[in-house]
Amino acid sequence: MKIILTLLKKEFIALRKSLFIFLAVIISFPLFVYLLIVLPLSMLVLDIKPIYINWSAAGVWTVTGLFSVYLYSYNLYEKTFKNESILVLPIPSYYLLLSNYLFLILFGTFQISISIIITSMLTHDHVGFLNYILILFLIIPLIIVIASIGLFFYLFRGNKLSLSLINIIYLIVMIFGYGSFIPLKYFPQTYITYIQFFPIPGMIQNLQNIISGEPIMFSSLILSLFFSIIMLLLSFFILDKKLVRNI
Amino acid sequence: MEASITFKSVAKKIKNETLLAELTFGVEKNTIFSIVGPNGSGKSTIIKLICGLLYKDKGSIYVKGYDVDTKIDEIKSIVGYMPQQNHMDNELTILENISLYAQLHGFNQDKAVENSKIISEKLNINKYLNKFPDDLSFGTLRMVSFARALIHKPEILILDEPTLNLDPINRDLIWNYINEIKHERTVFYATQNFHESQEYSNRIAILYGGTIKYNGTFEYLVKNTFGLARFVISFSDKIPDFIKKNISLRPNIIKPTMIDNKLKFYSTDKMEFFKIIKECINNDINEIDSSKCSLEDIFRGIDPGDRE
Repeated sequence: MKIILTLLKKEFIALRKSLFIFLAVIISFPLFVYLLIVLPLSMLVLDIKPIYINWSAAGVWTVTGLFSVYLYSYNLYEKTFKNESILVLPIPSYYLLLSNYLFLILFGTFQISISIIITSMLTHDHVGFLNYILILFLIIPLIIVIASIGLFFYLFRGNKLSLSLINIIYLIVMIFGYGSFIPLKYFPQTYITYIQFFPIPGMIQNLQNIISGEPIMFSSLILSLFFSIIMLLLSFFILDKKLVRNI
Repeated sequence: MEASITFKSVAKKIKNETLLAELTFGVEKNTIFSIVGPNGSGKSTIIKLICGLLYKDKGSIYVKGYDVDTKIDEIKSIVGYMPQQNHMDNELTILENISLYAQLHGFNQDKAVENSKIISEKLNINKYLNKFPDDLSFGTLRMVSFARALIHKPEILILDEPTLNLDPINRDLIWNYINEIKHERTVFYATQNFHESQEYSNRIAILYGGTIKYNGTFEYLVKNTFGLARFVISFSDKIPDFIKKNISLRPNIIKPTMIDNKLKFYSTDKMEFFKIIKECINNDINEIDSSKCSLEDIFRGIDPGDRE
């Protein structure tokens, strides 16, 4: 436990060097999403109850939180698994991955909390403490899923251009493909049929239900928990073979 | 003597090409053991196999009796590793770069900082402790990397090109430090610096064609060359044509090179040298030189496998 705390401490100290820029990006990301996506779409999507601006806050939280985690994860894995001095430390290799995941959960939670504060201020629809806890509880399995997807893309290790294009495509999918800002009912039925097998759209719908005061769907919660466990097991399974003893 | 590191018939393929084949050697406890070899011969791969950064394809590796396959965490706790690249955390200061690694080796924060300061002072990097790696040269970071490898006082030091790109003052600092600890630690290092290898190692291994061709003290290596010596003859004008034509036909002359007016060759037979001087007596000889082989000569001039 002490080792994991030291690894976490190392990452938090590392943030200090560019803290101002870090905070500026964390705060401006949800502001830009709100300004450039939510506001224009609020003029187009009119059949959302209670009102689109409140409903789409779930999308702002998820997109900003999960995409930040996705981008940061690559940076974190590179710092950990390309650094031979870390890999020769006498600590079990799963500690390294575990500390990365824990840091990403804390980082994602922080980004989502900032996004919640910003959307609450902009929409005047305040999230109560219990709902805040529930939102985090629902999103943490998704952070694990995204952190694992980040790990698999890191293993892919394509050239920088392909990687940047993958990131852009993934951002487009997150913004437009999961029902964050455009309701899924506008998509073709075949797309809806397939997308429901992925945990993120269902969880976004759960967050939208919390905003609308409707009950959450446990099937989506179970699906995201299932995915996060599978992804976690897969990550630990490939850890030694692909990350630690593959320098 | 007790062995610190043992390789038994180790083989490793990289991208389907055999890099190491049937590699067998041992490193005695509390000795300085260097491994030299051509670029890409697998020196760093050997180091990574010892430190558990690569899987071997075949054979066994033991470090202080621990098998790398089953006891890698125990091995990592007794090994201090200095990689060929510095691998600094650019967002941490130099002090944090050293002390946080000490904490990850189990030291408490105060002790880690204290040890980091002591070792930094010894290696003359204490003035950089509050700087970030981005602000420092590769050579300075090399010293930091060395400090980080030592911070937990490991029993076995594994160094990959430790003095790469270092100025003579820093090189001396590193070797002075190693000399201080050599009676209580095992030092295993890979290098392309033959002078250092010859000067500071108790034992030297020459890695060639995927296996160890020579393994022993420098004196042993020289002895195995059967008195091989290096000869140089400089002419005032150019090298005579008859010498140029038939030098490579003389069986006792090894690896002759002719650059401008200078003829250089290796031989185990001094008489060959005298014969050439005699033949060239009418040509204006400027300078002659003969000397015993250095490690670099052994490596550069001869395929070591031919002489055993």
